[in-house]
Amino acid sequence: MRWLLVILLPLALACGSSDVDPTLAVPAWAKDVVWYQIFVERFRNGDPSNDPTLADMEGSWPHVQPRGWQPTPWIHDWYRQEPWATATGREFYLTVQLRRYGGDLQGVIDQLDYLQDLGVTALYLNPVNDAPSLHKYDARNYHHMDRNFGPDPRGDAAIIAGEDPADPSTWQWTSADRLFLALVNEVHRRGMRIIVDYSWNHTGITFWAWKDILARQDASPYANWYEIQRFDDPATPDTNEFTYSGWAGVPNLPELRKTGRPEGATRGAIDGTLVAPVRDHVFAVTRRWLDPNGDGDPSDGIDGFRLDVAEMVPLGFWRDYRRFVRNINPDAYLVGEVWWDEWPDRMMDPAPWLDGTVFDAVMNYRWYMPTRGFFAGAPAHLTASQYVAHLDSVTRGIGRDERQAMMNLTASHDTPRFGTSVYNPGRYKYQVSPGADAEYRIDRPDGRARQIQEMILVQQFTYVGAPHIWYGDEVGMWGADDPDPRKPMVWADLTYEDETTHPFGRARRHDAVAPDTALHRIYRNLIALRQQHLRLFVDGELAYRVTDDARGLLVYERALNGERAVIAFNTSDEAQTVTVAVQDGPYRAAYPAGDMVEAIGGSLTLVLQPKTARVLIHSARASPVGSGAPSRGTAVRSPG
Amino acid sequence: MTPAMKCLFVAALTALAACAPPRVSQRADWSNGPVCYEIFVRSFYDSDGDGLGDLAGLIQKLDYVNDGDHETATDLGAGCIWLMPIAASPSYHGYDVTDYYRVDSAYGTNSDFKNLVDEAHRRGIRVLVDLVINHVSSEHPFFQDALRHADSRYRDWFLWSDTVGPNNEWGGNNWRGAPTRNEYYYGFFWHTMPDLNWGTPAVREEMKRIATFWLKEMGVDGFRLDAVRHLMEEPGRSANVPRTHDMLREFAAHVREVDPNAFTIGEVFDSTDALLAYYPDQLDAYFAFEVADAILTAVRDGSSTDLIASVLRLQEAVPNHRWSPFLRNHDQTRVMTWLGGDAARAKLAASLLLTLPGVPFVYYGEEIGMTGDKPDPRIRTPMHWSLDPAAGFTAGTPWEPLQPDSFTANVAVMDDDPGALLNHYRRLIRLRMEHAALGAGELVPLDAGTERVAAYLRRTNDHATLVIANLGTTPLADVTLSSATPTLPPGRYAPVTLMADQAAATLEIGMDGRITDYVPLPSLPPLQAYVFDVSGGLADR
Repeated sequence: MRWLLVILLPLALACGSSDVDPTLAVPAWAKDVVWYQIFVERFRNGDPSNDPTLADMEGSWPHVQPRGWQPTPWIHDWYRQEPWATATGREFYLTVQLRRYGGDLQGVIDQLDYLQDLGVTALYLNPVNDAPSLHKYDARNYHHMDRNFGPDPRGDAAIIAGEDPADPSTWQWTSADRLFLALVNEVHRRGMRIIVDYSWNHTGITFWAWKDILARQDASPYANWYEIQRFDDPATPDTNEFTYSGWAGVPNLPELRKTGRPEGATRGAIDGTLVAPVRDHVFAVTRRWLDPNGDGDPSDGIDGFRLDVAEMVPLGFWRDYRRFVRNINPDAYLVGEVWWDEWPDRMMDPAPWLDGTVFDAVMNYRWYMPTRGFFAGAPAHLTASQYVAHLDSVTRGIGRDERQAMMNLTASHDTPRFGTSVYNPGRYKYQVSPGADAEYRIDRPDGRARQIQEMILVQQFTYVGAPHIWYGDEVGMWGADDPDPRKPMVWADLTYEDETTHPFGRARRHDAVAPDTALHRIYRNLIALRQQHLRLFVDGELAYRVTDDARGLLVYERALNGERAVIAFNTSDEAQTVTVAVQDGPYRAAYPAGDMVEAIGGSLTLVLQPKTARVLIHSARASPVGSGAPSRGTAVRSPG
Repeated sequence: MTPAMKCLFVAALTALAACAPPRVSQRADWSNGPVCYEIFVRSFYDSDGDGLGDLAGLIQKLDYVNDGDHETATDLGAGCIWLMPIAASPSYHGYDVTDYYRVDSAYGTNSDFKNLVDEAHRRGIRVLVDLVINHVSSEHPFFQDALRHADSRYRDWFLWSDTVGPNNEWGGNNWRGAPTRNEYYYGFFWHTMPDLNWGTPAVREEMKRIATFWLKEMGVDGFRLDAVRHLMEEPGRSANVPRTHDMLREFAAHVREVDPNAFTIGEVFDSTDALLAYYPDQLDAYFAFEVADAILTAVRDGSSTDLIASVLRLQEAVPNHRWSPFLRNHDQTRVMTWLGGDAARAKLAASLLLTLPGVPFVYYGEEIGMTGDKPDPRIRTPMHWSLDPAAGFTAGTPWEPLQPDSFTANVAVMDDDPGALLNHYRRLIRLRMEHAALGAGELVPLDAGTERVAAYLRRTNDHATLVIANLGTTPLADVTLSSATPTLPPGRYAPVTLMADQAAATLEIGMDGRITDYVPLPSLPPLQAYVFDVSGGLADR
């Protein structure tokens, strides 16, 4: 099918037809951006007047309402339980989900200057739909922004109560909705992009249709919206026969109903779709955020969606979804979460979702796992040549456009933080918390971890795919797997309590909490490097020049129209000299910034300090070295 | 005057204002500086769901412009509207007319227009229509006739040449190849807009007949006259040629003869120097492009120097009601875009515009901070009325997509926000109507010792208003005002705050009538303007 299109498209163009299917191409902008993922509840409290109350949290796990509960101060020692939490007698992990810090949309708007200064050009917001939990994957409704993310939670609740949620023509714009649209507009005004996360696989138990089903059972007009095996039998008043499927068995997250799936298949690249009324509702919500003012011009809307647990929703739906989305905004980006085939050993091959009819990209955890294996020596530890083979294997079967638009991430809301994941070089995403592994380190990562992080970052910002930053990684935040990656953002203008508490009461190092300005500078410089040579790092051909397994060396080159970047890594613990075959000419030490070096006789010799990376750039347009004499610093001319 | 007496006095003034006869009876009085609102009908409000704004839609929204009730503060309070061209035209903008005697069917009928005029007058709103007298549409039957027939009676209504005529003064060429014969016609703006030959008496007579039609048949209160500096040409000269003045003189005299109360304002897109040649005996007024630029530059750069100079230049040359300050019009990048989305600066620009002398014009959407940049359709996009689909402009698909900020730059949203730009405009326009000095007073510049501050009095015989604005982005302490010339009768004045709830120090005027070392406020916050009434007579005694 794809090949046919490849052949037919130029034909259609040649015939002067304007009927080129806009739903197929990967949006060009998505290849050029640097992503920044924001978990709104934990990013910045821009408006303390809208902080959640216990009533706002009703219907979210763990369904308790501790006496004396109140929002947790932003600067609170992470593992120290609040008095109201201690009073429950439950351990940290059973009360942390009750925490709210009050992050909101105003906080995001207030920090756009910070993000722009960092250099990021696209925002990915974890779910912002109205929901009682801190993570919002348990929608109370899909068509409004969370009431506690906007300026008037009570007013918004009243507006929402006045609607018929099943009838889009009755949908109003709440104050939170409008603040979100103001954010979208401000993001666009700054030349940035914004996408939001939705789960079309499941809702929360406070979702309006679900509540109607709970009340009316099979008499509800929404009775066929969910995966319900059995309704309550009125003939047996003493027992409730109501049974349904929740995502991953979680009863809080009832799954929306699919149809047309192969017998017994519930996940993966399978046929089928969402039932029609659910699909129509999802489409109405999607249209609402893509073209909010409904004038046929999507410039006031979001730039795409991150689609949660995409492998749980059949391909037939996603194909329709793509056409629907791209007919509203031909430039909208769709990135799916397609993750585990068999946790924790095998990730799912995303190729079926990247054939041009489904998504533009996936969250590319498959890039990070081998990268960590090579640079951090984490199992399965990879040599340079194994790493190259692994990278090649994970991109096999994926088109060039999709590879370039891939969201390459080192961490997310579902993983340990980047720093912590290289500080704990165990298996990836397996026993990555102090509860599962008593030895798991939850304190501030050390200098060695920092060196590994910097090498990985150099790879990430010079490699194929759009780099992604999980909020706070750029200022050195640390933490084990969920809930720890969702600590409140560390800001320079706030003073934080030291982290002194261990979740299981064990002794731990005391760590001061403050932004790591040195790491922030590394991020800023690498983003700037990528932006300055954007076409080279997006479109440039990649060729591996050195894979030295014995010495832990890796060198690759990106090249485009005479511009070249040489990227060299020394993962070993000793200084190494490496000779790289390159085109002759002057090379500028671009990272770390330094002198010009001259490649003569077809090669360049570089000295690489232990666990460091270097980037050198040769520009066809660059003037020759000013002094005429190449630098003799750490880089020396090849003996030829 | 005791405080109680002052209250009484203020109350009496307010009562007087409330009891004043409806403004419709003052139609001819342009000297009190009424605020005019420029409207692009196509983008204002669509009554029938075809995606195009229309006259019936405009009628439905007249209460937004001015509900005719002095008691309410929910309307803009504009005293007149200028409609961009509404006569039959093949283009979206209407500046190329094919039938001057008929409203474009997309907008409605002549009868709809008469209804509009009645409804506007009922609310005390005067109606100005855009009259395009420099050129017609290339599809106008007269031009088509002239194009096809060498012996057409309309041949000399246009300018022809067998060869490409000379370039204009800027090096461009405005001669357009005729599609029918090997000849050229003159069209200053575009090939679809052939210039009329004003040297032909029949052309002048026809234009007068059109003016008479709109004044007498359609009931308009005057005209905005498009591109008047281009009426006549000389070889190599396309603008401001001497005979243009003769033509305008003749045309304006005709308008006055038909309706002595009619108001004419011309577009001379040029410097104040060039503008001054169009006085005293041609059109009533002209747009002051230099003042418009000066206001925006002052607000953007934080300097009052050129602003005050640009106003004084005009004030010293002509009566203030014979020129019009504005911020931007339908040919220019919108204010909010020009100011980089800075709402505080947009408010400040409005504060200056609406406290300066002249007959100020506000371009629709400016009051809600609409954005928009070239190309032209994007600075003329549909108005954002509400949070309904298409911002409540139409029940259908708007003829041109909205601006992406339609959810924030929005009438319904701003209605509920006392601090919104829209309510700032409403307050300022109301002040201008209620305070004679703001409407009609001359501007007396005050020296604040720093270009960061714009300070001036607006003064009539009986009333005075003090305006002081910090154009900079940092607070200023102890800004001291003085005047080089006499300002007010000697005595002590208690300024009454009109904008921003802030009391000012008592103002003492010595025997020489000058203001000396007056510190009205201990501190001026950044980008903030204050307006005080200083008519209240002596502060004590």
